[in-house]
Parts: sequence; structure tokens; C-alpha cells
Amino acid sequence: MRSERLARLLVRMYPRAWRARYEDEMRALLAETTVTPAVVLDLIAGAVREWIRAATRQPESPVSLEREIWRGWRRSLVGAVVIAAASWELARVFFLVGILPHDDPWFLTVGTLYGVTRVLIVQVRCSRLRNRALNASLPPPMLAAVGLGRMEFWMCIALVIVATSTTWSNAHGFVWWTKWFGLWLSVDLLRNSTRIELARRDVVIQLAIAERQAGQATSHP
Amino acid sequence: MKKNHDELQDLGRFSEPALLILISLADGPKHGYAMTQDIEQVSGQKLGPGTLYGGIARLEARGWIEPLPTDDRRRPYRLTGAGHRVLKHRLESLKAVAKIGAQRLADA
Repeated sequence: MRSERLARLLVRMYPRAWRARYEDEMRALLAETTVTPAVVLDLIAGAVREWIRAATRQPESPVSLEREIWRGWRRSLVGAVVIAAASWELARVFFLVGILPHDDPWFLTVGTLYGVTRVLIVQVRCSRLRNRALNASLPPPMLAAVGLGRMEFWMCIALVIVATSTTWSNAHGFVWWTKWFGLWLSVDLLRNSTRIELARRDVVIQLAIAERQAGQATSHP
Repeated sequence: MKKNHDELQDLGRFSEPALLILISLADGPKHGYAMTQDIEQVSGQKLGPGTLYGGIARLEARGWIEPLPTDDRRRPYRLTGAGHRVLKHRLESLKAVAKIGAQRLADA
């Protein structure tokens, strides 16, 4: 019974759109399956694959390429500002609790540069890929916004608000929260890098196919 | 033939589960549990629920299988015409490879 509950819980790890389509069927299947550690691992691996697939597949409905490019740029610029602000606040908390010496400006600079360069590099790289794909008359390959995710954005806002409050900034209990936030940002960076790398490979493959097809069309008029 | 073969290979690590699912549906519609039982009987492999539904989702997205109305919570699937063609070409390709392999073994 416990293993069935665990399996049901694991199904909740799948993306929402996937669950809307397959959750009932999969639960029906799990009700008839002995839930072993191998099944649990299979469900976890399946959930990871579906999240990657959801993040990298092309949208089903037609979208405006121009609009998506501008939307990506806007989100990236907002993301750069928010990450820079969050880095400054994080550094300030580190100063307050004595983790960093007060005369060390590098942490502030590195945090800011990290935020700004991260989103700009990602955005420029994606724009170049999109333009190449557009020139090859392919559908937009990667329209998922690659700036900040919605949750990351609101977490940064919350950090800035909480950290600027005098009462909270002086509290030592605030340290665990900043550590958690640092870890969370790192995981998110890894997630975004994976998503972008997978999408980049997808674009490279599509371009190679298009170029091969164009070559075949030229050699066989 | 080459084109369809590549299409199935494009499924990456799902190409083998996808082939097993297509084979399982070749003799008529089946729901998830019936597919796992049939695949285990035919190939000796037990597909986990994550792998099975990963394969089903990809095959459905390519239009090679299609869902039928649900029977309780179980939803049966069946092969489409395109799925039938892809499976046929893939099996022919595997048969040719197996034939060459057997011939080389015999010559050795």
C-alpha cells in the first residue's frame, strides 16, 4: 500500500501537461503493477526525461518569431537586473554575518557580472541560433524563454525585499535562507544550461538535415 | 524505406521500447498493462511504466499510434497507417541485418 502511494506521488513529478494527458492511464497501470525499486527508478527517470522533453520541444501552435525574440530579450534584461540586485543583497547579508570582510568588493562585482553575463550570453547565443534557423526556412527551434523562470524571478524579488528589511538583515537565522537560495540559483543555472544545450543540439541537427536536403534538391533538380 | 527507418531511430533511447510497443499493437489495440504483459511474453523484457508511457507519448506525437475511447481508466491504443508502415520497414531492415549476421556466422 505504501509503495502504491509512493508510485502515485512519483507520478506527480511529471510535467503538468503530461499528467493532464497520461496520469489516469498511468495510475491504472500502476494499480496492476508490483511497485519495486526498479519501477520507482523507472518513474523518476521517466519524469526527468519528460521535463527535458517539455523544455526543449517545439511549440505546437504557430508563434511569431519576432515577438518571441523580443520577449526573450526583455525577460533576460529584467533577469540581469534582478540577479545583480539579489547578488548585492546576498553579499550585504554575508558582510553582516561576518562571512565576508567588509573591504572585499570582489564578491559584489562577481555576483553582478555573473547575473548580467549569464543572461546576455544565453540570449545572444539563442538569437544567433534562431537567425540561422530562420535563414534555413525552418520553424522556430527554441522559443522557450531562456532568461529567468517565473519562480526564480519571484524568489529574487522576495530576497531583495526581505534582505532590505532592517529587522531581518540583522538576524543570524537569515543565513540558512541565503545558503538555500545560493544552492537554488546554482541548480537553476545547471537546469537552464542543460535545457539550452539540448535545444542547441536539436537546432544543429535540424540545420544539418535542412542543409543536406537543400544539397540533395540542388543535385537532383 | 531509409526515411522511415531514420524516423524510428530518431527516437534515441526510446527506439527500442517504441519498436516493442509497435509490435505489441500490430495484432490489435491494447492498453498499457496489456502491452507490458505482451512485450514481456514476446521479448522477455519488462518495460517500466515510465519507459512505456515515454514511448507511447513519443509514438502518439508522431502519429504512429492513436488512442481509443477509455475503458474505465485504461486507454487502449492502436496502430495508425503511418505506424504500420514504419513498423513494416523497420522489421524488414532488421530482417536484412539478421540475415547478413547469420550468413557471416555460417561462413566463419
